[in-house]
Amino acid sequence: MFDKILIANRGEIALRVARTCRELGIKVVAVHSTEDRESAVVPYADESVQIGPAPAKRSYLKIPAIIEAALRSGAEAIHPGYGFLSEDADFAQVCRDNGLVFIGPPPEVIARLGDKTAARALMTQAGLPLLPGSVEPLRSAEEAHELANQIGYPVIIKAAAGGGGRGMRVVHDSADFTAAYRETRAGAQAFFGDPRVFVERYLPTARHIEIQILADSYGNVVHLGERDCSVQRRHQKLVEESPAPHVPAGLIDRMGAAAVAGAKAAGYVGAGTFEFLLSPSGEFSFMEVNCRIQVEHPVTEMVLGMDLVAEQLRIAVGERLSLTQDDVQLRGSAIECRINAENPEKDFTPAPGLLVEFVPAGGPFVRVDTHGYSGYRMPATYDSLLAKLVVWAPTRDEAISRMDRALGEFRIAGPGVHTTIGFLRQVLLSSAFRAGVHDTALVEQIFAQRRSLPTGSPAITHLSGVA
Amino acid sequence: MTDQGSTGRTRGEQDGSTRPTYISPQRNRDAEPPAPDTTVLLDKVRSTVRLLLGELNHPPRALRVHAGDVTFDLEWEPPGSGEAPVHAAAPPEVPEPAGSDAPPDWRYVNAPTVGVFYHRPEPSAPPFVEEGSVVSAGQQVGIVEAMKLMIPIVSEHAGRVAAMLKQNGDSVEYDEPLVALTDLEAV
Repeated sequence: MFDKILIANRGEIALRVARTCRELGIKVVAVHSTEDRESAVVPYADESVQIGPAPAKRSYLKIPAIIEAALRSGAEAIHPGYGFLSEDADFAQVCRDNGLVFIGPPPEVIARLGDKTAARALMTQAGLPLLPGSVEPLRSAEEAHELANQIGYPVIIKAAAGGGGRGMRVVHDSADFTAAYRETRAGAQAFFGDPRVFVERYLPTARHIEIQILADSYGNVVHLGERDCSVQRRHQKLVEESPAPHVPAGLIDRMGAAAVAGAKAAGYVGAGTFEFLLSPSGEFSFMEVNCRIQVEHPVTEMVLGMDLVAEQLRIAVGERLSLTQDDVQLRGSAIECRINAENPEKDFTPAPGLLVEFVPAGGPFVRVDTHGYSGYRMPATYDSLLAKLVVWAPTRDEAISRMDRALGEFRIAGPGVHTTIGFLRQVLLSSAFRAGVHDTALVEQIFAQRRSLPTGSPAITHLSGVA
Repeated sequence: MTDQGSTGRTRGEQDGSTRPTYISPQRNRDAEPPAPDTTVLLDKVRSTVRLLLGELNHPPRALRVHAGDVTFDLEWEPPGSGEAPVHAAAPPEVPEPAGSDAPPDWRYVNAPTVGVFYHRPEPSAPPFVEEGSVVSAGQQVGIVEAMKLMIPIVSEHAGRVAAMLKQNGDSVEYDEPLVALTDLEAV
């Protein structure tokens, strides 16, 4: 096993990865920007290196600074977490060129799957079902428009270099297509440095079901079951659960088999996630592959009793998978809520600040992944994810009750600080979610209904006027 | 599956500086990991103290830093006293101007990136500057190497080198103070 690794990330995931390293006896090097000096992973790590100022471009995305920190500290491998450089094929290559193990797939696999059009073509070849759409780069607005007319509206235009729900536009009418196409290309160029887009049929309501896979470097691939991530706001996940409620018998086996076939076709190595959409008529379609550990991985860990970061490290150091598909048995029900420092009353604008009070939930089968602590000044520079609250219970109903109990006792307060805790409780208590018949339209429906918070909630969600 | 550890932080302000000063970490002792190698700890505290002092306009009268089993106690002589400063436990290598009565007004030249700091343009050449050298604004005082790229380190201000804060060949972090300069008028 590695002697020392560098974690090229921040916030909750950096601490989460560091904890597994400590359990495995691996020394941890944390990197941080000037703004993250007080972040929880810094004192936790065995060594820390300040790599740049606050802006991510000059710190967490600055490849030379991270590689230099790794080489000087004697780290053998780099764990990229999620976001930042985790799906940057160039970074994976630079690691390799400098004798560092990148904990993730090979650079050429990342490059191919990161190009969503190329990924669609590959998965089509591998026999996965896809929604009708382009599998070749679109050469002109006219060609794209013609294809959209053939597919039938509504269609969605997506950035080929995008992913994670960003850089997408839905077109309901042929008359609106050309303008939307140009706007999406411009946005793609601005956000991802690559204007290429693809067109796909759009499902107005669907369930987002993803399959976790593990692949070693010997061609062995297993799937670790599914996660239902249908609770989303503007394509950003808020609540995730495993197993997916109320799916037809055999569906998950078929989706799992498709993910395994896709992973093998891609030459995937490591932990990855195959995202699918499940249509109201019960058909699943491939969306994209995420070539990294995901935010919501704890949900799978809880229903399997496995440490996915430990599995990533074992794969990276050249071990074979220790389990076969038959060994994979999901048990009970796990739910994760992402607690963001955002104000739901003000369109979810970020609301970070000094956390005067930070008392996480606890108790039986409750897990909190967070970099927050009392007295922590949460920076405004980075994303608003403050904590992941994960619960497990033998049944889904019990997991929902346990999650409501845990959300109710989680105390986060500070001047100007708001969190989404109250909103998450609303979601969990909605009849559609409780019945497990919700889809990606749930959050919009909740806004439309404008229900009030459950009574008796003891949670203090914000303080004001604290000096 | 609950998270037992918690880390408290205290913050304070010193010397009227508007930047918060990191004073002492407090840890949940029950959840403390085994004591790390003392040398690593000393190194870490030393570089933290340097960084901390680099943020302040004037060195404080006194500073105490706890980390694990290591405690640093630093005192600076009050103005007008001719006595040498008092050290306790492991004295850090924070340089002081020899024979000075008042706290020095130091300016710092900091690392623009992570890398390795060199005093010389090449191993066989004389160093760019050394303690006591007079430096003009815009003069090169060193090199930081990062990923085979040699980045010239240039002093923004004129002054006299009070100390080379990092050794030739030391690894440096972003913004770490490398060279301390005093005003040319100071004796």
